[in-house]
Amino acid sequence: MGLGGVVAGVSHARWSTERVIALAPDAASAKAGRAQAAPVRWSGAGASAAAVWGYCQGSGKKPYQTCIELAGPAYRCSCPSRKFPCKHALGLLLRWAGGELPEEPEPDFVAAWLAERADKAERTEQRRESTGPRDPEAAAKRAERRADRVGAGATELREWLLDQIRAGLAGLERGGAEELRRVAARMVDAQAPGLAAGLRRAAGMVGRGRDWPSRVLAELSLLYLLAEAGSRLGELPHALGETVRTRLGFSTETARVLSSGERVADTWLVGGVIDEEREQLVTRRTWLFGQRSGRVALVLAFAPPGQPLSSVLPAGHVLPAELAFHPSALPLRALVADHGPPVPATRPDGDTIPVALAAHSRAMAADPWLDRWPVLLSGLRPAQHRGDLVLSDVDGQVLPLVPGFDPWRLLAVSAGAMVTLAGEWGAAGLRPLLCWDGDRAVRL
Amino acid sequence: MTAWEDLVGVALLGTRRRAPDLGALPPAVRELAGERADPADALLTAGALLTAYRRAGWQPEGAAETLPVAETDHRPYLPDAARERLARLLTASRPELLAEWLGVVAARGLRVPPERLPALAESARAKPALRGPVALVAGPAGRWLAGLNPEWRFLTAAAPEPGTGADDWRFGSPAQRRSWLAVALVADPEGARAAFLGSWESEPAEVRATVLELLGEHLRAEDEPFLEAALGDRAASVRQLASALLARVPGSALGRRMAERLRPLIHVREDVLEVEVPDGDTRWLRQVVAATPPEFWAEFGTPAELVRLSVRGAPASVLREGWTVVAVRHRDARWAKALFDADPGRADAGTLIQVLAPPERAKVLARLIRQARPEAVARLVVDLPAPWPPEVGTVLLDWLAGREDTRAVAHAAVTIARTVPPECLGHPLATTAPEPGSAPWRRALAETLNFRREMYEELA
Repeated sequence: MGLGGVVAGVSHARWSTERVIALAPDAASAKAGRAQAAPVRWSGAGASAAAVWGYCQGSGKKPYQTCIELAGPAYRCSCPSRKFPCKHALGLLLRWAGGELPEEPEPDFVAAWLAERADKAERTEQRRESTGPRDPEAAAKRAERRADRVGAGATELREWLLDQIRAGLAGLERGGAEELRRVAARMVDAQAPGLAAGLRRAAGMVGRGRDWPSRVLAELSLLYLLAEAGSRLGELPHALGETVRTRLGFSTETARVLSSGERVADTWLVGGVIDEEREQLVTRRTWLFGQRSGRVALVLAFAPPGQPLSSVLPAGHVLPAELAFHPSALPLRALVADHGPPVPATRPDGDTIPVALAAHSRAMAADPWLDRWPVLLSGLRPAQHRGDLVLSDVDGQVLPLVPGFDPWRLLAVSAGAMVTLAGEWGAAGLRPLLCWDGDRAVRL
Repeated sequence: MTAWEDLVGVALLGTRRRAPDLGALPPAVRELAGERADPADALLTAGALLTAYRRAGWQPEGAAETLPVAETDHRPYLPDAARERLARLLTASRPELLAEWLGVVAARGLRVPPERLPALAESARAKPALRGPVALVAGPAGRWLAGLNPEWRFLTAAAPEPGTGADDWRFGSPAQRRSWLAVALVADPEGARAAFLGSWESEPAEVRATVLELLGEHLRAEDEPFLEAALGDRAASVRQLASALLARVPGSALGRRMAERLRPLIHVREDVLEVEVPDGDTRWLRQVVAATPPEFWAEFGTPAELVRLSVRGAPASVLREGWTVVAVRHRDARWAKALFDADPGRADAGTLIQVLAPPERAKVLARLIRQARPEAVARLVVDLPAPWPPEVGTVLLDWLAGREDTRAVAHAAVTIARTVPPECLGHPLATTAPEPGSAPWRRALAETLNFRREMYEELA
């Protein structure tokens, strides 16, 4: 697939307002930040190549000092808010994005903070260089112990699943969800969070909708396959073994991915950013499409609710970046090793439905547990099919939308005509994340 | 039954009761699952393989019915800064600013980013006053969306289709009926009258009152018999409205009747206005004076002369109250000015002042607020009907600039901030930031004025 985006080489070119708003930790902050963007609230503000700062008149006599280091970005504000970034930082960035702030030399309080940050970064770097792995022998022992526990957990889960199938899944309808959650807790104890997550998903399906047995069987049988693969990790080919380990919930150290993961440098389109909150943790999925390589990538970020998530990859932008892929039979998850400035993406040429589905099949062949796959599609129109709103290509082929997707923004952009969009494809259907109105990317 | 449904059936029942039939599985799946001796093992293995097989090999169904395509919208898009302002307006809970913004965007013939239309439609659903402006700005895409979402039907209101709209009167919601009638009274006066007369008897009182209010903007001499009949309406509110409207119908019989009753009771002798009040009923006198057309008084003198006469036989205030109603109903600037000159500090200044021509209005206002207490000005400002002429806006902003912090001033500032016309937004209050530590009302005033100024600048 070829993308129409252009990358400019200016460092910290002014951000778009959409990009600023995407930094807000929650909707309330975005709203408050917008209100804070009124010039009369600021008694002075400016910007340099490295930072943006201002003095905001709050309710007290003394104005708040707000500054943002653009590279991070990192925020500092003398207000008492515990949100990052606070509404003052957001409002100030919005003014900057709107071209309202003059270029000025940094005032002392900003220069001092920037110097302090640079200093700290250097010290951290030094520390990292001077200390290698602390005790490789103990680490190896810990890893071995964990592998044993996961293996035991996987074996236990297989037996439990076999028992369920012998007795019949119909029995789950009464109290089955609690039973599944109880077994999930056992898997957490066995340090196999991937198995626990699958069981909790199944628990959420039991008794919901007429086709719950079909969905529960699909979930549990894939889990059975994973548990089986997990109990004979040593026999699997290396790449598949890595995939299975990841699905079981083993994490791969960042340092290892950066040092030995496959590197792909390309111009990447950020085709969608979606945050999901579960159990006091917000997970941000960012889907990337390589402009020249045709590769796709998934960058994950985690934070407690209300805390900032990585924002170097704003949706609807393209940026030059080098990614380091996690080892896997299906290299998809990646880290951003190095990146340039993002610029708004013009409308790319997306795939047709058959081409996108073929790529999905190939991906599933490598990783049968794949639950979401990025697609970039062109030439889709909203349509009706069996009473549901769907997307259809010129041949009348239908892609269903995931249940619960709010279609109105997408519908308004399309107004019945063809659209180009990026989204996640999964067993439940397509979840559009981004579409284009002419050459302007619109988050959905 | 497909192979998958069969597997699900066996899984539900349990492999102790029934063994899975592997024969129906795709060959590759059958081969791998067949190696498992334990039926439960075979079933779960087949289930996993078949699930991956089904997901990877998923084929789209065909023959969807595509939706119609909306008409092309040829209007240019908003400038970038205005696009961001719309985002702010949609989260700001300031419907009056949003309404103003929409009005300007519609007047400039600009198009909003389509992805904002659902949020705009939702705002308008909650606030009926926004429906007209949103419908206008939403354009063809809005009408297209309304076709898919019945809750946004009002988005089609911008382009009423002649001939089909009468259904809105018969079957529409109160808001739809109201907007239909307002449009129809201009576009098709005969049809509009026929529509509301057809259901008059069965309408509830508030609908009858609404009809009269709307009709009041488009009165014609032929409406008199209908209004005469409404004088006998069941509801007092409808009777009052009908009587007020009747007095305004050009050459109305009611006006003539009242003039005839008043004529023998009024005499002017040597700077004294003598009034005979039958049975001393001053309430009756006030009503008769209020319902008598202003031309009646010509033979006794100009309004300016008449208000200055001393009055005998009735309290002067009764006549003045009657004249005030006459001035407002007939929009008679001469009477209004005379009444103001006679009593600048009147409590009903807000309603009377609208009758004056704009420059006169500003002059009267300037004089008024120099003399009046801030509480009185605050009340006046709320009553002053919008739109304000620029002269009026400037007078009020100047007044605010020189005020101390009191509750009445803060209260007036809220209305003034959002009502002064755009021509006034070059005022120093709208271009400079307030001193640090200023009272909250001053900061809010500066913020609203600045916001509006920028809004107009972006859309210029």
